[in-house]
Amino acid sequence: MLKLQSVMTYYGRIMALRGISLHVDPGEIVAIVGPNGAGKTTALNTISGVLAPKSGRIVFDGKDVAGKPTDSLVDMGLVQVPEGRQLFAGMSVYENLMLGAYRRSSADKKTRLRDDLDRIYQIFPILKERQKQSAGTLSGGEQQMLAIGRALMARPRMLLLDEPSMGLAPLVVKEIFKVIADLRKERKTTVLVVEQNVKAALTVAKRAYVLETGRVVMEGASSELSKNPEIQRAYLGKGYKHMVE
Amino acid sequence: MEQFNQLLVTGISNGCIYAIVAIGFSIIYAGTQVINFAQGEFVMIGAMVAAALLAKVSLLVAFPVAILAGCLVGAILGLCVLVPLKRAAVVSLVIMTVGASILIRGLAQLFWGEEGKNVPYFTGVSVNEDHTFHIAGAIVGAQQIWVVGITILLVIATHCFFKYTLTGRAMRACALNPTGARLVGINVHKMIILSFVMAAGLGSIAGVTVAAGIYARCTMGAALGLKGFCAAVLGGLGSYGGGIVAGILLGVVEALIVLVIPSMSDYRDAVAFVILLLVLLLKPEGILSRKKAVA
Repeated sequence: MLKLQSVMTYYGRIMALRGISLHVDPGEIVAIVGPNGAGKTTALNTISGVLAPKSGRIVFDGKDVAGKPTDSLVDMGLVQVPEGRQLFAGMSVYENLMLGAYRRSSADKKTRLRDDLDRIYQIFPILKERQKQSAGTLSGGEQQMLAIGRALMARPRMLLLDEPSMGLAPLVVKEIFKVIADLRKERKTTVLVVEQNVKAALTVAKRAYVLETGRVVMEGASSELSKNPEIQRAYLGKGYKHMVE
Repeated sequence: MEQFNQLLVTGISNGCIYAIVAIGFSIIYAGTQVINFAQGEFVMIGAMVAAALLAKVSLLVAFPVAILAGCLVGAILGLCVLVPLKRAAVVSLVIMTVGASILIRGLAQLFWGEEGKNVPYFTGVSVNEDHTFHIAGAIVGAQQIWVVGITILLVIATHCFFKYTLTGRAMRACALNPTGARLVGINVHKMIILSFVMAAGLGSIAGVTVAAGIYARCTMGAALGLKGFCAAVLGGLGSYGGGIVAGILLGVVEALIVLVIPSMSDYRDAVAFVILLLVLLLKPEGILSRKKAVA
């Protein structure tokens, strides 16, 4: 469904992605993990058209989309849930959700918008309770739910999730990741998720890529990666004692 | 008392014009953080185009054409600001709008000349005589009722646009969080152009309305633009409601000041700036905004 081939992205003269290649098959949940500054967010922003790659190919649904503007990618069904949520803080929960459907045609909205809204209220009942409240007054977990809900209003076929667990309590993280897993099961939504919470990411994702300083340094099935001693030491906090000895 | 009422009427109708101009400032500021000092020239364009056309056609034709002309100038200015928007500091863009305002005024003077052009009252008895009404001892001109009525309409229309239409919501979204707006697929650049077009449209409506009964001149924009700017800052930049209230208050205070200090009548125009300076010193976020001035 999505394929990156030696994608390079620069911030000015600084190379942030040093040619990364990865792929996500339809209906798959794939994670990108790695330390701060590895280029995880840069990778997502390059895919979603926020940043333009310097070179390399990005193929979505068989079409080369490298450098395409975000609005046309949203039209194609590729929607990003950004780092820090980027909600419209002064606007109500309802208005935020409605703006998620911004690119959908008016004919489509007339017939299915109400259903989609109900569906999101079903997934996140708290959003229905708070629909008239300003998005800025929500708790961190509710804001993340709203960010996901807003993206779902675009009827995405593929979601790009950037650090959905950031700043959230473990229980809320669990809930959010359950929703992601359910989306894949029920709607066949393909997901590419960037996470620093490696443990949570490897639980929900089938495969993962490990990014370090703008390169993919490791990839494989989550089950195998979570057994890998290096991953355990660097990201899962295991084997620390062994190192000291 | 009668004098008070009379001055109040003048104040309110002047204040309404400031309020409309202030909305224009806020719309552009909210979307770009740029204070558009060419806002007053939108007012002038509206007035001058209407004045030029009114020599040949009726107000019903001249008014819409004047608004369209204003919108066109707004779109061009918006495009000019948009090109360097990412790279340039906001201050440079503000200076750019100052330059644009001088350019627009200069071009208008080249094209229309220095002389004032007569714009008849919307519904006057003749070109130079308006219908008048006596309300609470004050003489109210029909044009003043037009001014207030049009302002009320514009305020309601603007409010509904931002609150209930998808495009209006999208414009607010761009002001609140450009990154988020982009990610839901809103074309932020289009919205910025649209904000210039709207501000220019509002300005030119104010221009046609204010010029009726008096003369339209190429130099009329500067003073009105600055008064509107004062209102926008007093109300808290980016706050539409604040700008409207502050605009009307400003008009009223300006008119009533002669009751308190009769010798001020020659310096009426200074009142706005004295108030502005005081407010900026004491409460820089604007008198009517609760938070720090954010969009």
